[in-house]
Amino acid sequence: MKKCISMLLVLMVAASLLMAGGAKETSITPKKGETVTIKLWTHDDLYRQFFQKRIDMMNANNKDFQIALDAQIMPNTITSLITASVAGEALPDLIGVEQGWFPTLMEDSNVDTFLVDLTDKIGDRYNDYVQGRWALYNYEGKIYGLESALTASVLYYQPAIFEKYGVAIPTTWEDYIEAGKKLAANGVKIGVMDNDSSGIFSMMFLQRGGQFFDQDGKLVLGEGKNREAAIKVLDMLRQALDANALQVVLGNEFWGSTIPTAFSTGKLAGMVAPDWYNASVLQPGVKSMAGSWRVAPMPVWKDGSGYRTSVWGGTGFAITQSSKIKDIVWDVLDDAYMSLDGQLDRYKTIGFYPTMYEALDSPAVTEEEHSFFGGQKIGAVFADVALETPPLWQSPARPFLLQAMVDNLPLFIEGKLSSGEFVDTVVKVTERDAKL
Amino acid sequence: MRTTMYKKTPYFFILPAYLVFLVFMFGPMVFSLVVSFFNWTGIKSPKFTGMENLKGIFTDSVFWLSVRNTLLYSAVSLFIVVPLSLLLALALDSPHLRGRLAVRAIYFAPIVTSTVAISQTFLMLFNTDFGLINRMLGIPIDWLGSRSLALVPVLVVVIWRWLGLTSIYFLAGLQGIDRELYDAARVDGAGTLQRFFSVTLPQLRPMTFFVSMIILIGSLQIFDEPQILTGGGPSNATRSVVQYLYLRGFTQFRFGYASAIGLVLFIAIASFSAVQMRLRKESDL
Repeated sequence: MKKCISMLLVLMVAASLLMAGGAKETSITPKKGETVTIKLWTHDDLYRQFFQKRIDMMNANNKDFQIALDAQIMPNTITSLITASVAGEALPDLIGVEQGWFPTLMEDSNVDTFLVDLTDKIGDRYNDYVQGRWALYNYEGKIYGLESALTASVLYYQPAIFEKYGVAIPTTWEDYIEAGKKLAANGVKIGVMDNDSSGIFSMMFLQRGGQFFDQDGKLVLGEGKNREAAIKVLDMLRQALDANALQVVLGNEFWGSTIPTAFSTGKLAGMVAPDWYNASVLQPGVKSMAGSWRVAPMPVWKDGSGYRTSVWGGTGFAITQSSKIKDIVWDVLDDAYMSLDGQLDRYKTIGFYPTMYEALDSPAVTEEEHSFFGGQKIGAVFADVALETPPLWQSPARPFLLQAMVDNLPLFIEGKLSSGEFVDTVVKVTERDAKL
Repeated sequence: MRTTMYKKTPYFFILPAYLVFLVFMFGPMVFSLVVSFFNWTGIKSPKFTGMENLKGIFTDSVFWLSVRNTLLYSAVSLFIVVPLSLLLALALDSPHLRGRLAVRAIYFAPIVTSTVAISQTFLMLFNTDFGLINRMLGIPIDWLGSRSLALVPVLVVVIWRWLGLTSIYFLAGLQGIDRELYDAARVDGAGTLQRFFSVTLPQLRPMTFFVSMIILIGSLQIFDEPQILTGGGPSNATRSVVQYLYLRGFTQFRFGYASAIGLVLFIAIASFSAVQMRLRKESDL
């Protein structure tokens, strides 16, 4: 009986996948004068704008056929991909995969079912890009997506606040705590800690050289130097919390008006965040504060451990197995994401820092003066630390790890869990829920 | 022949509704029941695990926390929203109320307001540092970040959101009461309170039962309010059963486990509804 039911479920899923074109299909070649439509799914309209611009440029130079872009903006492309596939609906050709959702496809080796292996297409050019960024879309040594941003973390800050209270811009975490204490005495927080998406904790942990998973996707947070790094970071955060130096915000509030309000009222001096935070959140949130911001490198550890920067987030673009125009989609992706011109244009159009070394060092990036940052050449700050961008290894167990952190970080913030207890609980819950 | 056709005709009329029910309700229910005995991520072959998912649920502390929270939401909905909405309906039914239509529209507005707008409004109201509520109280209370307090804002939104709709139901019930009953009560010397307890409440019994049923079933499936305000946090302090089902199913892609939660929830709702119907039947007798 159970075999019959199992078979029935398998048949239903297989039928849905075939109906949706989940199986591999051959590419079609467009006829002269024909218009080929690329279906794009992404969670952010910025990507649509950029791809549209690149496609328009390609069309202007292509006399054989034209490309049209049919973009859909949706909150979660991977959930939509899976549900549309099971429901037998049409799938996109090109899909933006927010890095946090890539592990969902790693489970049961579903990556190959949905996405095209780009390893051979990337070829030797692999070494021309920031190495840590490949790890996000790596599964069993194959690469399935091209990353959209460097996502290197820096310190965004308001110099006027630091000057007003005679506090130097911190260059180490130890200085950061001391500066935080001085600002807190004046009712100002030095930075932000989210109580559930674990942004600052993860950034500091990766910066100190920690990894949640190893290259093979095995949970290693509880082991040796990773556990030590996590505890060291949490102890540092505990000091900051005890000094009332951090603005603790809810995960739901992180993207809302709380932080911009705190910035504009002078209650919050700055925050450690990646490059995309500037274009997607900071500038749209506090437009009126243009000119009063600056960027400094992320504080480092006084004992010299780890890297000079960290990473948070990212979105990779991938080609779906169901696409009948894989070669054309690759041409678009190659032009937009792998060419020097595309990388510089992406930076210029949507403000995400290049992942290509040559582009990062380009004067178009390093010499550009940003009016929002008082004319500061902030590209030079990112270029300076780009080589030290740590990898973040993925695992099918990552959604369970993230949930375990979401559930337990508030307990740590409240002081109900010590640093060690937090790490041990997160490891235990992840192992249990992911059935490792 | 004509008699047979005559007998069959009603079935043709109700057939579309039953077909829709079979395809969109019964079918998925059976599918979900079957899936609850498997470990399935939605794409590759499901693996039969028997009762493992159900056993897992009963030892899952987060599930039980979500059950506790859901029961609390239901209790507040039943014992606060229902009486309050009846009082509100009485006020809205008053002939002395000026601008009745406008006032009714205002109370009904929350139910047709976008959840995003509600979310942003209440997040701002309950904000620790800049929120209006803390400004009025003069104390920086961490409403949404504290495990012991986070339920309060969620319950406030539940009450605010459902009060208008349920009061409209009661209003319809009040307007259906025969005015002669009130006249007769007045002639018998009944005062306002006596008329309320002897005429209004007994006459509203079917509507009260209906409202209680939909409130109970709705609150056992509560999702929007905790999701938009706290996302179920902090540390699952506000997570409802359906939120937990969503987390397991659509964030972690454990469809078997999520289906098992759905099965338990279905049994709970069916049991509560059966008890409620039984109580009503007994009270009618």
